[in-house]
Parts: sequence; structure tokens; C-alpha cells
Amino acid sequence: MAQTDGERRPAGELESSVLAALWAAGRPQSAAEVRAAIPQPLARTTVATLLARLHEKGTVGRRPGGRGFVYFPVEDSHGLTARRMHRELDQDDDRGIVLARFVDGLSPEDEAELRRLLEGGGQ
Amino acid sequence: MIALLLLPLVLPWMLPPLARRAVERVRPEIALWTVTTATAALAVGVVACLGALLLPLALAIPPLAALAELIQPLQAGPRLAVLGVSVLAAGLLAVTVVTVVRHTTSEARRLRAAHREVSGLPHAGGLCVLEDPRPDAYALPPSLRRPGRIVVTTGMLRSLDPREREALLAHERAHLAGHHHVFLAAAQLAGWCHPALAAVAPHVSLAAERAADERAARAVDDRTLTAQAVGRAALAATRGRERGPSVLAARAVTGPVPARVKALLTQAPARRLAPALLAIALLCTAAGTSSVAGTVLLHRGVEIAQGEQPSD
Repeated sequence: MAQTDGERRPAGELESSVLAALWAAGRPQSAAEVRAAIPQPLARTTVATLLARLHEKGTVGRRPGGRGFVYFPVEDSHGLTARRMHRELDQDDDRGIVLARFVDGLSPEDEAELRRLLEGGGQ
Repeated sequence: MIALLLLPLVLPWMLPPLARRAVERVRPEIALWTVTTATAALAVGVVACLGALLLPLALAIPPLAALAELIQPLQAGPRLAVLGVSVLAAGLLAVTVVTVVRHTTSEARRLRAAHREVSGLPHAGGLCVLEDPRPDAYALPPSLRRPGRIVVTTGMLRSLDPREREALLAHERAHLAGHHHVFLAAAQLAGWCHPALAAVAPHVSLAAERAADERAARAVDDRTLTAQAVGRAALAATRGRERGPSVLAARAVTGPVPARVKALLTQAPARRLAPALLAIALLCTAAGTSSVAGTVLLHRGVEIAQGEQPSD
């Protein structure tokens, strides 16, 4: 079978997509469910290999499910890191710009403008 | 000669409007390079001129004048005015140094702490996920010993659909691959040296975001999808964040997110050159020439005070 478009991407990018999909799902997923939840068209064997590699590295856990394994992301101790990070990064008002944040909070005017743009231009 | 050294302290006020126009009109990578280089160059000029302006004050102190082997007072203009400017420059330079040191150490400490936290988390392809219902995502720049990481909260992953998630990851990868933290750090450092350059830092930040947005749009091959990802992430982040008065105060004008979404919904900017870029180049040249000429004249003044004959 010819390589699909998704399989030409670096392995690291595919691994991060798989991890993102597992976390977004919020409950253990079979390899088939993961394959359906990532937008790249990947062969079933590729998804299985990616999951096996992440399991080896300790990034995801697995247990026997209906058919084969179901996979879930390894959690840190109940979001402790998240809370510490939040405190660390948001403690000062003059938080630097070096940490490039995807989006910041919006003012009410920005929010209205954004809704207008997304309704007008999107889809 | 004093006026020539004062000009580079005033010229930075012309950069913020030019920076805004450059980011609006030119390809984001080019705007990012140009505006960052300009703000860094003007900051160097500001510090150099403040340093040079210290000289008349220093040489008015007899032991230092003796050390410099002056046989007559330095003639740099009306004595009181020159000394006044010199004292002011000393104060400004002291404030600048304290500001830079204080902010740099706190910023470095914060990034180190963030790295320490993240290093304990499992990652896949550089992605670390934080269990946090508040939607947030950022590119943690590499430090000396640790590689850069993409940090995303579960709240963010769950407010986007699978294709939007890919756009988000592509955006953060673009920040790391493009070493945008170097540009942001330079702009921030320049901003601590001069209040006008502090007003340039948000434009550099917007240029970096725009560059990452365009790269993400190319990676997922869909500008509208990328615009949606940015917009929906921002709306989710706003819902998830307590809106304090400081956020509102900081956003009197249209913020960067609507500008980014609007840019993604229209055609990709293709221009490499714009009048704003030429104006920025002229501005830097003027500041550079002025500070070099001022320093050369001051140096000649010192030589005359040392008893040398003017060479021409």
C-alpha cells in the first residue's frame, strides 16, 4: 500500500496527535477509536505501532478491553503539575511574552468581534 | 554634540506606529525579523547614548578628570545644561539597569520553574498535556539543558475538534521551530530599556503569532480551519478564565486574537516590502548615525580638553 499523506509526517508529530486524541477523549480508547479520532489518514498498523511505542515510553497505559487493548494517557498526580504551573505562570501581572501563548483572554469587545468574524467567514 | 546624543533617545517614539503598519502589511516572518532587529538596534542606541552622556558628569569630578589627564574642563556646550542632562542620563541608566536585571531574573526564574514542572511529565513528540479544565496552550522555549515543549491543557484539547487540535499543535510547533522565543526575548529586553520600545513588544508578539498561524495554516492546508481553531480556543479560554480588572485595563483597543482571525480569513499577505519597512530602516540609520556622530564629537571634545590640538 502506498504511504498515506499522514504517514509522511515525522513520527514525533504523529505521536503527539495520538496523545492529544487520547486526552481529548477522556476515557480509554481502542486503537480503532484513536485512528478515527485523529484527522490524518493512517493505516491501522501505523496507529497500533504508535500506541505501542507510547506505551513503551510510559506515556500511555493500556489494559485489555473488548477486542485487544484499550489505551489511556498516564496522568500525573491529579493535576498537581497543572496547578503548580498555573500558579507559577500567572502569579505576576507583568507576565512576560517569551512564553508564546496560543490565545489570551478576550475583552467583551474582542469577543463580540470574534463571534462576528467566525460566523461570517467560517464555513 | 549633546543634541546628537539626545536624538537617539527620542527616535524610538517613532517605531510603534511603523511596527504596527509593518505587521499589518508585510509577510509575518519578514515583519518579525525587521521589527525585532529595529527595536533591538534602537535599544542598543539608547543605552549607548545614555552611557556616552555620563562622560561630561564623570569628567566634572576632579579625580576622574585627573585620571583622564584633562588639563582643562570638557567643553560640550552650556556647562549647567550639559551637567543637568548628564545627571538625568545617569539616573535613567541606573533605572534601566535595575529594571533589566530585575525583570530578566524573574522571567528566567519563571521559565526554569516551568521547565522543572514539565520535565516530570510524560511527553509524545514534544507535547506535554496538563490536566487542567482551564483551556490554555503555550510553547515553552528550550533552556540550556532542556528541549522546548508544547504544553496544552486537557481543557484546551477538549474544546477543539480533531482537525482544530492539529492546527493548534502545528501553531505551537511553528513557534519552537522558528525560535520565536529569541525574537520575543529581544523585544522584551528592548522594551525594558525604553518606554516607546515597550510599546513595540506587543507588535513583535503579534508578528510571531501571525507567523505561527500562517505556518499552521500551511501545515493543515486550510486557512479557515486555522482561523476557527484560534477563535474557538480564545472563546474557550475567555470562558475558562476569571476576568479580572487587569485584563480589561490592558485591552483598551482591539486585541491580537480578532486581528489574527481576520488575517487568516482573508488572503495570505504576500508583500515582502512596504513603505513602513523602509521608514524603519531609515529610523535605525538616523539613530545609528546620530549616536556615532555624537560620540565622535564628544571624543574630540575630550581630546581637546586633554590638550591635544584639533586634528583638522
